Amino acid sequence: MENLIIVCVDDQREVLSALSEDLTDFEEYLTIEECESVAEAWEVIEEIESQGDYLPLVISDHVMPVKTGIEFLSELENDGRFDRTRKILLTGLATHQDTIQAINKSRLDFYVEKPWDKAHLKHMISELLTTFILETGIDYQKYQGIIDQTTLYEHLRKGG
Amino acid sequence: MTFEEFKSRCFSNKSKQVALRPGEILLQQNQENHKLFLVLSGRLQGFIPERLERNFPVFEANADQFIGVYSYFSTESKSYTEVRAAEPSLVAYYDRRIGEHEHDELMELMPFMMSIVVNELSTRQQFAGEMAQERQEHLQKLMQSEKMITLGQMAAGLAHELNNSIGVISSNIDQLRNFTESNLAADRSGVNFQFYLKGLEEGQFLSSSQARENRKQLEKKFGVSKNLARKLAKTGISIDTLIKHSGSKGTDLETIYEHWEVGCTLHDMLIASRQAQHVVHSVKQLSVAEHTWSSSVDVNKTLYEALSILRGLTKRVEVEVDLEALVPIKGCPGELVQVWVNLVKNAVESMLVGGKKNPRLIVESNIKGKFIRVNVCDNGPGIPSDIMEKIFEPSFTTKVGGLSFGLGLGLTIVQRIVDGHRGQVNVSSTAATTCFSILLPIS
Repeated sequence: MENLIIVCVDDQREVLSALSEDLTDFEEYLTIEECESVAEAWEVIEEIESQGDYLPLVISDHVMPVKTGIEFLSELENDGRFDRTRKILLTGLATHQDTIQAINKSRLDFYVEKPWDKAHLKHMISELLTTFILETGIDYQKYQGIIDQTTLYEHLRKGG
Repeated sequence: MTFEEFKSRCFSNKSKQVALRPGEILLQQNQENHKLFLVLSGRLQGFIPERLERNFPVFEANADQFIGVYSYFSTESKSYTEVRAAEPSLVAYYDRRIGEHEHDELMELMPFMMSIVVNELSTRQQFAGEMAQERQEHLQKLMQSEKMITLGQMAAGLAHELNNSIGVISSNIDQLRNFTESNLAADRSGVNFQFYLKGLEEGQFLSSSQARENRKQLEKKFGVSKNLARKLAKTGISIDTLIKHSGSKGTDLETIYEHWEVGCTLHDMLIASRQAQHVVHSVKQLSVAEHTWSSSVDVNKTLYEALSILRGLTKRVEVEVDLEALVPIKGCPGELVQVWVNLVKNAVESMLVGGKKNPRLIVESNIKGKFIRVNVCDNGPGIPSDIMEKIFEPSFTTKVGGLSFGLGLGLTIVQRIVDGHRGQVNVSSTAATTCFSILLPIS
């Protein structure tokens, strides 16, 4: 169906709320899904897959019961279906060891500390969405409102 | 030659003996010495006099041990320590300047004397080693107490600073709430106030998956934007209610959501500020300044305090709290809170690090005979029997990396505090359950 869906994962409801509030501007072009656990996130992701929609980005907290964010992102990384899915780890508490593991095992795109800066996060997301759209070959004209112009220009310049 | 032979050959001259009272000096430091002394009875020690404070002896000689070995056999012929009697002592000596023996006899004595030197050297080495070890241990203990004092001071400072800010936040939230309600007051009977109240009283009670279900229905029923559908779905307001009011005068779906949102925001702020105040209060109890004893301590209250401090950590596991009615006891509430915090923290961390599925923490309290018993149990991987003895030692820790900020002092502190309360710490650990059981006497 070609819908773009961003999946957000955090066990704290207030944080999920705050995150989707900050991403409101993207909602005109895509859907934001809130999940309170890794298990729930996988349910949503499988649904996205079966409906033929796209998963350009996952934003996940790290410290959560049962499964941590880093474990989740590593699982995503190892799942061939989501090669192009971008990953942001959003965290208030991660040790040095965790950080190393996150970067090495899950091919993170960005690591953001809580509390995050809204403008900074939005810009990051915009870049990631743009590269996803261009790589996947989706018609980027439809998404002019959220495309990052610099990234687009670079891509076109390289003859993409 | 045996030791006895040597002793009778060289040290049996009664006129060559010295008796010493405790504190009396046998040899001054750097005093010229040509005598080899054999201690017949008592105990002497060698000191380096300029190190007056905490002056540990450099060597010690009991009965049948030698003194003056260094000065006797070296070319310097000077005593390098000040030798003092620690107890009433009797020493015999052999003066090498007085040629009492023939050259041949001296040669015969030589191997034996060599063995004296070697033996003396090794004894002194050992002694020095023991002293160094003791010194090191004292130093460690000192460092640890310093660390704890520093942490305590930091905690007190932190709590104080936070307290002021949190107080401001708390009273301002109340003001904001009153202002908001008085502005909506005109409309209190109106349609929107009920949605504000719903947000205020219930907050965001739907789970994200329930909200997702709602949203799908909303998107079908109303042709609203994705944004509004997602937000309305969270409110938990039934679709029928929304249908009923969406066409009414003075409101629409946007307005309904906004009123709910204001209530919900105040709701979350009130809860968070209350929790913060509680934690600050509990942390203040942990600071060094707050070690006051009371004759009527409610142990259950201290358990709740500890759980409150660790709320962020315990939400990651299932917690079962089973506290029976207790009687007040004599104790230090601040210290008891520390004990529970340490035990609960250890329990939760062992389950999380062990990757336990369905981690479960149980905290119980009850009266057992003349004691109050508190159990802190977990279903984590447990404590292997080979380290069971060591877990109460300071600096013994199995926590490496991970989300742990400890000093390895937790159980040492627990033991110390429980001892101070004349209680007992018992621990049992199987593959299925680990339980720390604390008994506190009822005065």
